[in-house]
Amino acid sequence: MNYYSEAFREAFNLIITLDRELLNVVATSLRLSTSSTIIASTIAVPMAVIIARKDFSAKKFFNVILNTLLSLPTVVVGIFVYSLISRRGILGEYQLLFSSTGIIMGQTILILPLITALVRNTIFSLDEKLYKTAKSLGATKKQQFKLLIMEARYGIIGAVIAGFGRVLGEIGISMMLGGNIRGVTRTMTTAMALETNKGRFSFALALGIILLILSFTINFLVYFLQEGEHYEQR
Amino acid sequence: MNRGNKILKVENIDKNINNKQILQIRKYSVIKGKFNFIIGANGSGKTSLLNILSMIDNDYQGTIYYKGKIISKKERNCELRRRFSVIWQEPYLYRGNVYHNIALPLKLRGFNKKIIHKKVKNISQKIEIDDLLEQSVYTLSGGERQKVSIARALVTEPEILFVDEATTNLDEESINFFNSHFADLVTEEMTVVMVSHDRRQIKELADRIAYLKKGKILSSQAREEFDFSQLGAGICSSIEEIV
Amino acid sequence: MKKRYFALFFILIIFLVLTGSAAAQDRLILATTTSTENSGLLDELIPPFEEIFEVRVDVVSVGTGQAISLGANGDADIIFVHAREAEDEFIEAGYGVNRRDVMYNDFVILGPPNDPVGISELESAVEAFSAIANAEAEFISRGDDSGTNKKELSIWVEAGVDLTESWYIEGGQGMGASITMADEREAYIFADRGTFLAYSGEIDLEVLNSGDPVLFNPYGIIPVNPAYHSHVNYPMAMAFVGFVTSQAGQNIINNFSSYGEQLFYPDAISSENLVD
Repeated sequence: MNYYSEAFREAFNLIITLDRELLNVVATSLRLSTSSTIIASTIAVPMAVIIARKDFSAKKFFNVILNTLLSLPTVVVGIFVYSLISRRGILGEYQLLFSSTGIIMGQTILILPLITALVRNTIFSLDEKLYKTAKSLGATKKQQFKLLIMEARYGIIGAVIAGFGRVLGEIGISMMLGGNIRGVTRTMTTAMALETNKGRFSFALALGIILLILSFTINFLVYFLQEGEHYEQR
Repeated sequence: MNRGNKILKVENIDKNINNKQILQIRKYSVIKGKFNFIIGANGSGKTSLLNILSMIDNDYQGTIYYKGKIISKKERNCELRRRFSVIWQEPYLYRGNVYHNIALPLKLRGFNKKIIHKKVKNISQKIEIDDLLEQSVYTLSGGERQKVSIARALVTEPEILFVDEATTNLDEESINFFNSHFADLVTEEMTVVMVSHDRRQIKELADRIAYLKKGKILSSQAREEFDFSQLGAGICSSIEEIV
Repeated sequence: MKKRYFALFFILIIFLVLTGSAAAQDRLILATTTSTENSGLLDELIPPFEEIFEVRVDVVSVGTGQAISLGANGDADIIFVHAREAEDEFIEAGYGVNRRDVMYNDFVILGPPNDPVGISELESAVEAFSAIANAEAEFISRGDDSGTNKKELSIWVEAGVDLTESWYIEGGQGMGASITMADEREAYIFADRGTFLAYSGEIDLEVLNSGDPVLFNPYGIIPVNPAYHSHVNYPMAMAFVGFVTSQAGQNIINNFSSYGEQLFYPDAISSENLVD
């Protein structure tokens, strides 16, 4: 017991003194997660609007696939992207493996279905009259899209944050595609795995605490957004 | 009646939803500067016709003329729609406050902030909702919501105003407000196309009346010439009161 | 106004993607085993090399099997592993050239301090394993096909023991986690000395059997064959081989200690050429 209380004390010390190595890992993690979340969202939001609003023949099939991909384990995405960007893969010549770009690719693919499905559900739940009204107010196609996004904004932001939380906490992709390279692709989760293995428990613990605080903040934000929406509708 | 008075005209309209015919109209015209009423039982296709006339629904067979000119599907764009406004039975208000909603059509048209502010102030005073401007739309009563949507429709000073049973779901007080103020809000040049059940509205406002039954126009005449005896029970039951 | 937001947004993405990938710098991808990186040796060995050759060494630490396949796939420029047979196969298949011995460390057999089987009395590792099997004492294996695991299995084969019995537990985890597991269950375990030292402060397990030459664990370094994968950074890989086998590199290895004990014994140059 004594060993662990000592480790906790050391972990807090690392956080309070803003240990450089610790900060570096946290910054790498945030940088990668933010990039993949932004890229995934830019693709997912328009895609979700199309799935929710347009009729096309393969739509049912598409929705089934989307729902399947929702619970995709990270290692599955990892191995799939690995086979693409490995030197012997189709995209081998671009040297993406063991780089930030490799992780970002994998993480983007991981949360693309998640954000798409959540945004799709939000758009489904909107009032049908919204579309007629937008047209009647003289909105151009672009403005109609913008109004739709504005109406669904809480749901969309919630979806984006959920995606961010997922990539921040995943380890399979970061490990397989990033290679846990210090200062480049060492994220909070891969560093935790490494440091625990090394017996540097306090460092791993410090990361665990930061990850916990971050995911608490994320969930609090989501909750706050939903509350905000309810408050507005009251 | 000369041609120039027909601001909108539709010909040989065929509208189907799921292989079921909703509308079949050989000819119908909207007369400029008049109150054009469309009456009929529930499900007779009034709202469908309104959607076609206001160019919100473009998924049908037939021809539509605006000021004597055929308007192709491609031309039924927002530029043309910006000359129209619609007031729905149940208005959809966008997230945000009342001011945002009334200003929205002006923002979409790219007006500058000063002009928007002036116009919104002006119209909301007329409709007596200037004290609600800062309020969230979710705090409004049904009557207040409809007032906001009326302000939003009128703030653009539309050439044609479409009104789809605007008072059907409102309380007595709101209906009275609507009936006593609506005529003053509409300017001389404004053309109004109005779907309504309200006999007081028909009596006091209607210039022309079109009677729609099962997707077909049975008659379309000036109110003075309109034969109210053709209406079945359920639509303006006390015809005598109207005439 | 809106256009500016849009532009900012894209600049942010590009910035985020590019920072950290530091495109211009020469880069050497070194695939090695987790235990090698965990030992901390590379943190001493790599920075001076990076400084001299103005290169960034990206260390990818994985299991031995994967480290070798990273080299075979051309995903790494050079591999630094300890699995002699697999290394030879790697070179025979044409994936690697110019292998050099770098150093060795040793494996140890750990067990509870009271040593119920009494393996500390025994001379060789094979005898110790046989004794554990005869007593059916609990034994934790990593079971992950790592270099350590391969070594362990080769000793079992030599001892002629059937491993399907319930006292033999395949944890399927890394060295550290496996040691912790053995400690909790008061079981025997085969481990590398480096990981044991890192954990020695928090476990009760002790080194009960060591020193048998069969437990020596030689490390080799192999550049990926540029004739097979033309894109690899072969010149820099050879430079790295040169550095770690030079007097300077070998001295760093010789002077590296962990928890007060020497972990690795350099063997690329003769010992009289080493400086303390």
